[in-house]
Amino acid sequence: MAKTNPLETERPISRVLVANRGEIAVRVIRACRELGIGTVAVCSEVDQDALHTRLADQAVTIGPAEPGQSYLRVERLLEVARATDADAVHPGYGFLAENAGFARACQAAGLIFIGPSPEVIEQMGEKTAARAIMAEAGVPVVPGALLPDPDADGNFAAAAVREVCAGVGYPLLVKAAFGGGGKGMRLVTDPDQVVAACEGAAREALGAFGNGTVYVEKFIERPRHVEFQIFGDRHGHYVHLCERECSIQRRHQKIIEESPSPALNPALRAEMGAAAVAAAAAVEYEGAGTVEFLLDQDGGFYFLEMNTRLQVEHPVTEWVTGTDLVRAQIRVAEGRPLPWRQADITTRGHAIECRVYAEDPANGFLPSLGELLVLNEPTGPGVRVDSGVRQGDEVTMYYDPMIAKLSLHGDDRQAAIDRAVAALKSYAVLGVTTNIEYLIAILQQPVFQSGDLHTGFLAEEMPDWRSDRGADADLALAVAAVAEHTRLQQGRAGAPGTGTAAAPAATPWHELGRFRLHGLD
Amino acid sequence: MHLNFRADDEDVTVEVTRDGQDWRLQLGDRTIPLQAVLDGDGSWLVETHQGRRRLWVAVRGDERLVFCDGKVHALRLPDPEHADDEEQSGGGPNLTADMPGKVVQVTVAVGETVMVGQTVLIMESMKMETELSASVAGVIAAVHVSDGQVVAQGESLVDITPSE
Repeated sequence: MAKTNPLETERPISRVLVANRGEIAVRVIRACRELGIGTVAVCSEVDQDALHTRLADQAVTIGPAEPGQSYLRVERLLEVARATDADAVHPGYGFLAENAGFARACQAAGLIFIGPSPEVIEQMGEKTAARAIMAEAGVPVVPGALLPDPDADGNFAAAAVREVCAGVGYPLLVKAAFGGGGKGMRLVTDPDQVVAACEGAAREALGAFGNGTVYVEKFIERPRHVEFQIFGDRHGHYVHLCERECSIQRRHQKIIEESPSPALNPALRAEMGAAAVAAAAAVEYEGAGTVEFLLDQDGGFYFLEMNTRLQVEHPVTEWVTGTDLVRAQIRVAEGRPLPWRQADITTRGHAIECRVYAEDPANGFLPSLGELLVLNEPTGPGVRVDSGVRQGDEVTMYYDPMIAKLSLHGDDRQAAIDRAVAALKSYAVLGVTTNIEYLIAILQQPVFQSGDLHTGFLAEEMPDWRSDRGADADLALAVAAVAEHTRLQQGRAGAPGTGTAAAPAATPWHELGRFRLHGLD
Repeated sequence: MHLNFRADDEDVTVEVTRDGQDWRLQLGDRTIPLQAVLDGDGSWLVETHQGRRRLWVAVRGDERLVFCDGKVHALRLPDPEHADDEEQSGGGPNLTADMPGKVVQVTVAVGETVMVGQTVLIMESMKMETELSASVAGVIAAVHVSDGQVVAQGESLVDITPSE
């Protein structure tokens, strides 16, 4: 099965251009440094003092704050790579990570793109094509079928419709083939209702989209989002690094992920893992990727999509498998074989990741902008913080308001949850509203603790969540008064440290302020 | 010291008394005694009769933001600098006792000219000596206390007439 191309020998990387910002840029820069590989950061004008900019060996300002004028400018990035003599590009996640055109442009410029081939990015980016490829490879997809056309009056042949739908199974969804946004969609639980539902959906679809074609798809009730980390190299090795459960989502975005999934037993894990590896092999996947599945309440699983990049939540996999996925990405991109075979990959304990966002969970998860006046990151055994910001940095409207990823490892799920709660309680962030109190509430919620999760969990179990500050209101007021008294006394004594953080120590470091390092231009 | 906070649309006056690391906070008819030290990382390590807690406080305009066990308490403190000037030893030219104590030595006499920062008298409170100095340049108008005298909090010590 080895498909080594004799012309494609190993090509060591000496300098990586990190085409991203924030915590993922920091993560990549650290991995490069450990490998003795040089790093070039790119930054927008508002990111010139950002952590990733400061951490890299060199930094280049590539344009104004708007991503379209900086982090998404392919030509500018290639120009910087040339000017800095970089020989590889790491796209991180988001921005250009799943842009086949960017991967292709990197290749054409003679740069190693740390990720899969442009062809694979393209195939997997097109959801219907991806589904077809996976079905062909024997990976289960959500069962569905097209319906026979109705007659001129819009009436379906009842018997034929019932036969097709029985084959799909109930409950099912009738969906408009050219639709979206819920229009032309019907949930059917009773086979006797299915013909009427199809006719209604077709009428609605015709009115809304000008095309009345409908199809049926099995409705997955209370599905879990369970994804498998996969990895491939150009020597024909494909492995999975077990699963992550990411069912805790708000507005279809994950905020808590964990591994292993409370829903998987060894047999199901082996079965899903084999399907994920088959998916990777089907497209000769190179590098790190993720195969996302919906898992129904009976242990049935269905291919959802494949993400052709490093995932935000990769730390939970690194915790339980003891691997370094970014290091492996770089090695594989150099043409080396995967550092592990399937038999080498085992898991230990349980890991949870909480995404700490500058947003208001009590107000539609609206981003909260401002200066991080206080930022105290938790530390301790089994505690990892992937952060792209420091105290004094600004959360701006231009980028994702994620402050950091807090990930924890414990002997078992309860230990990981306990560790997460304790860490969040000491994760002091002041200056912007965060979801820290909300994350604690989720982790302490009995249904969450039982592990009975599904993607509708937050909407179902925690609707209308409100902050509850009651218990410590007096203590907080008392300490505010203590701090204020101290601040005013120091102000009177002529001490300069009466600034924002209520920390009075006036060392030369405080007075220096923030100094600037300039990039190449 | 009185601080007038606004929490959840309610005005709360907190009377603050300090004795080294021992603080007494009077919130209406409730009294919270606590010990507090500012720790190296900028957090307040606080001990109440319920045990030890760690809190963070930030200043943003007239807002005071307090982080405590994963929760953030947002308080308002309109105009703290002028809330209680007349009670403050450092607020106006006249010196009053910030806390109960004993006058160790009065280092000026009536009619004497003083400069900003010049020591006016030495107080002893909590077994610690504190030097009180003139906040304005001027002439000593009155000395209300003498060496060795025990004074109560808020008691007048020395009056200064600012020079033109």
